Amino acid sequence: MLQLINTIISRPSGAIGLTLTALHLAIALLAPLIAPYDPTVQNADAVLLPPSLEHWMGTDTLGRDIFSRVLHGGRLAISVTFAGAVIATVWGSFAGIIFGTVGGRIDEYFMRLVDAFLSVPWLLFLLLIISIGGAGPSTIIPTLGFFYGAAVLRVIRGAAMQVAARDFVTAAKARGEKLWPILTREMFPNLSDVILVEGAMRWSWMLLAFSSLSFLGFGATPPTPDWGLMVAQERGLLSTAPWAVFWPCLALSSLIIGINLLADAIGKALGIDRATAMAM
Amino acid sequence: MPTLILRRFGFAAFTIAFVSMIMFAAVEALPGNVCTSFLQRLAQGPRLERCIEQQGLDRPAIERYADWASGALKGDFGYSLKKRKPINEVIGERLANTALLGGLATFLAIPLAVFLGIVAGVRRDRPLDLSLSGIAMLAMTIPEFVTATALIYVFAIVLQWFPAVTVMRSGMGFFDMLPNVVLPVLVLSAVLIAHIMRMMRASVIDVMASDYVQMARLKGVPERQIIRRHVVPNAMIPALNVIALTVAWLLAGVVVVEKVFNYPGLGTLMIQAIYDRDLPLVLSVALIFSAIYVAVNLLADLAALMIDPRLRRGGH
Amino acid sequence: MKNSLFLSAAIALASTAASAQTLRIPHELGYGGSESLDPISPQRFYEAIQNMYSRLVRQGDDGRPSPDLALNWETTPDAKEWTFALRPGVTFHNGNTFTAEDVAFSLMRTQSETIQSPTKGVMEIIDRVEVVDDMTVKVVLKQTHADFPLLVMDYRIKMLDAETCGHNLDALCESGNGTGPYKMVELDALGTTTLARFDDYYGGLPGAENLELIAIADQDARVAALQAGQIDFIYALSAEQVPLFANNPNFTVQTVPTGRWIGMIMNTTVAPFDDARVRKAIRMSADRDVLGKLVFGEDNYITNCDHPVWPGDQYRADIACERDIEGAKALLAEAGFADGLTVELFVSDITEGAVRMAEVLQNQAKDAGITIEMVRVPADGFWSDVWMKEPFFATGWSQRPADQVLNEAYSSTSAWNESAWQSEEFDAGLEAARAELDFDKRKELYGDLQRQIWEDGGSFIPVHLKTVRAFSSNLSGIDPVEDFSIRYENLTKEAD
Repeated sequence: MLQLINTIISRPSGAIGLTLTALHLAIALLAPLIAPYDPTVQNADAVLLPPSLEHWMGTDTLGRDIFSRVLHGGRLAISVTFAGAVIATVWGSFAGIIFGTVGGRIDEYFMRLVDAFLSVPWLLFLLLIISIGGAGPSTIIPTLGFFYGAAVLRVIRGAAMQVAARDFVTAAKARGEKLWPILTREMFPNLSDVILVEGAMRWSWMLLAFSSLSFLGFGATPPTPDWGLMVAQERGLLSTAPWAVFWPCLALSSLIIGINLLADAIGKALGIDRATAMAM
Repeated sequence: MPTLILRRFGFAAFTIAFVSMIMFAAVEALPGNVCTSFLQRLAQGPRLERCIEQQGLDRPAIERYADWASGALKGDFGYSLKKRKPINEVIGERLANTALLGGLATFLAIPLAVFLGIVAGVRRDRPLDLSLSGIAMLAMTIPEFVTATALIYVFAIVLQWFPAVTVMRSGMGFFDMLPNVVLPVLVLSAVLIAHIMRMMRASVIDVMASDYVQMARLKGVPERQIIRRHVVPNAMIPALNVIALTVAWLLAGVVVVEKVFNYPGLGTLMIQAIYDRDLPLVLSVALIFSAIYVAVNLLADLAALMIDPRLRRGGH
Repeated sequence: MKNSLFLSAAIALASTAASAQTLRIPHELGYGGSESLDPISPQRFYEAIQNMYSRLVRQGDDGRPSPDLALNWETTPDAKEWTFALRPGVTFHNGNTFTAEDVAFSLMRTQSETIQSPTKGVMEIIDRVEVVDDMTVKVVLKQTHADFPLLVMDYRIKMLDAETCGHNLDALCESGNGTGPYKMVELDALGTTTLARFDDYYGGLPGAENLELIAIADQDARVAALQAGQIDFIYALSAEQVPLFANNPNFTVQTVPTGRWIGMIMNTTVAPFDDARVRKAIRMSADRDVLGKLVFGEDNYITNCDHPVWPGDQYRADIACERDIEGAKALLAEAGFADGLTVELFVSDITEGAVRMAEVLQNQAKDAGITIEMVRVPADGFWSDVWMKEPFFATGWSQRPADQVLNEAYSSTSAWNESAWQSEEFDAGLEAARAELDFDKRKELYGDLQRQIWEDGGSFIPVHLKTVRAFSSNLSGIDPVEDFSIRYENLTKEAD
């Protein structure tokens, strides 16, 4: 583990990625302790103030402190998308490993189904589901998890097929070992690196997707501080109050960039060829 | 080879049918229906009942789906109550608009992205690569609605070079539409370029490290020739897959971009249709989206077959 | 006559000289492209209709009825028969002459069972319309109504040409043939709808040569379009959008009080709201001024005491409703809720500010020991599934004259009696007010009705809203009136 971290931070991009991600996670955890103001308290006398000593990043249209809101603004998005990414990675890689190992007809038919599923315009389908279930995390998390899981499945299955073709797996199959021991003893240990990197990448794209949802009015609901929602609500004020747009945008982008760089660096450190494993 | 292509086509047809069923089921599960959304406050009592009867909403779902599907097979998508027009008419113009937007973005983005990806891959870790990759990373992570708003502010409000929102007039020709699509195309292609370029770069780096490239180098083949003959074609194969997948993203990204620019395309139509519970319209647009997706994938598959003869033998 | 001809010719010349005389107005696409050119259709294309047709009576600056297609009117002492003298020499866009027959046709079709117009309920007061001669009609009412002209002042009661509509009372008439200042050139609800000046408009030659109604559904996009000079005008700016235009010499910002309101409604037949003391306690716990400031922004609201009659209305009563936490607690204790009360409030994004208003009320009512649990529901389906179905819910109304809104929202038999209020005293009072021919006495009677709603009713209506609009500075002639009363024919646009 320590060695992995060392390898990651030996490259500048890896060091940046790790720092950004760790910083964001720390801020999200500690936001209630370090934020100077309550992120939802409105002040009719301090509307759209530019950045000052009192309000480091200025205030928004309801007189709320943007610095405090930016500190809090990742909590919902990070937790929702992290949960979504975990679900996606778990079911996607589990199914992917099985189908990659089993192969044959079942695999072929099932993959056709997955491919068909991937051709559903996902954002539109997501909107439909959210219209049914309401815009709460209890709807968004499983939906994101399910959708992104299908893409994970595709990638992991591809990687699993390569592993399954290797000598030690064919040998195990020849020994007549059952499927489950092969999965846990041979397949999973050889795929865990790919799964880790894949999961991290999915997470970063899910963050972006969540902000799009917020923009369209299906993600976070006001007055929750959320970067995507903050940008969406104030974007019309780019010319009069650029600070209200800039800071949440910077926070969102830097987190996504951080996770991306980190995932890349982990991949490189573990010797994973992202080129063949990457999909959108 | 012909059977392989036939199978791909068969699968494409299956996919489209599958998508339409999923979408039908999802809209059925929504609370409310086209009558409640059409009548709003007046959706009470006999008026609501009359509307439900007129629209045939009291018939079983399967029957309605079969109706719509058989019509769609004949090229007739039905009638939109909310728009008070045949759906073919509603969709026709929107499809052309979205095709213009998506088409321009794709044709601008793919060659440029492939070229930049090759450059970055060949010059791996040099300043040019680092700056290209950095810009690509930014383009991928800033939400489209932010890029779009910034572009509107600079090019439409301050400089007034292009319109801020699309204003449709009847009898608008292709060239009248062009100024309207410049900014949306820029937003869309920025993201496309970033994704495809990154993929292409990774793919190029991968191929450059392969044995046969090393071998060619040892044999003294000039570097330019290596890149043209060996690296580019081989790097294209995995990239094709991603190019096809980016189209899936494009179809979603178009929704956001269309909303910001008031662009009358299929994406906004679809969102409206979901709000309106206009089931036949939702289904029809979803069908078109998945047909585009499937078609692009099919093209990518066929292109990969052409580039790489090895794939032609087995299935995969 | 000669003079006026000369004058209009001069105006015509002047406007030809100023070439860019096209007024570009955004169209909010509220009906998603199914907009209808029939003024009484539920999907009426408001921006177009406003300019293509005329009313019998329009709203004067004092809020009272003033002449439009009717020059003057009188009634019998029982206020049951109203005779309107029509403006002579008015023609429709197609050249037909406007006559009494058209009035009879236009009024009677509002009652059609087939069309099911939203105006049906109000206009059903008309028993029949008699054509006295070409230029005179007599409207006979089923019951007495001293302010009948107010009812035909409704922005949807427009005069259509009976001949063009085939004299068919039961069909939508979407020809667009009216007597208004602009005539339809091309209808394209999803794109740009074009109207051209009607040269024979009886009110004089309209200011701008053409009107373009440009479909832009998203408010942010409309704001960007105005900033980029693609449109000339926008309605209903939100508080945070005002600074974009306020200090910019290229734009003028106008704030206008309106009768629009957002409210929280309690069903008076369901516990605990069946106890008038509980309803009053909830109302007394609110600080209307703070609420208005937080929800709508400084200067964008006028405080109100929970009745629907707006400050610009001639019948508005002055009532005081200061926040009174102690009083509210006392009432609650009397009603048996000394230890506090918990209720559920159903809200949705039905209109800008509804959710925030609920949040602020929740916060303020806490001080009186009232716990409001907010239930947020999706906006689509709200009107069919929640509104008038749950015991405590949000609502929103546009501006209506006192009598109309009191009748539509509070009389016990009305279909939209949101609070299910059954008050014989109120019903009788409304009838008495309608029958009273003396204005001051009538005002007193309508005032009583408003006080009854404040004391006993089931509404929480803390403020009436102001509307803020912005337009390019080269535009002139926009009167500071509510949106439905803007007269686009008076607008002129200087060439850039």
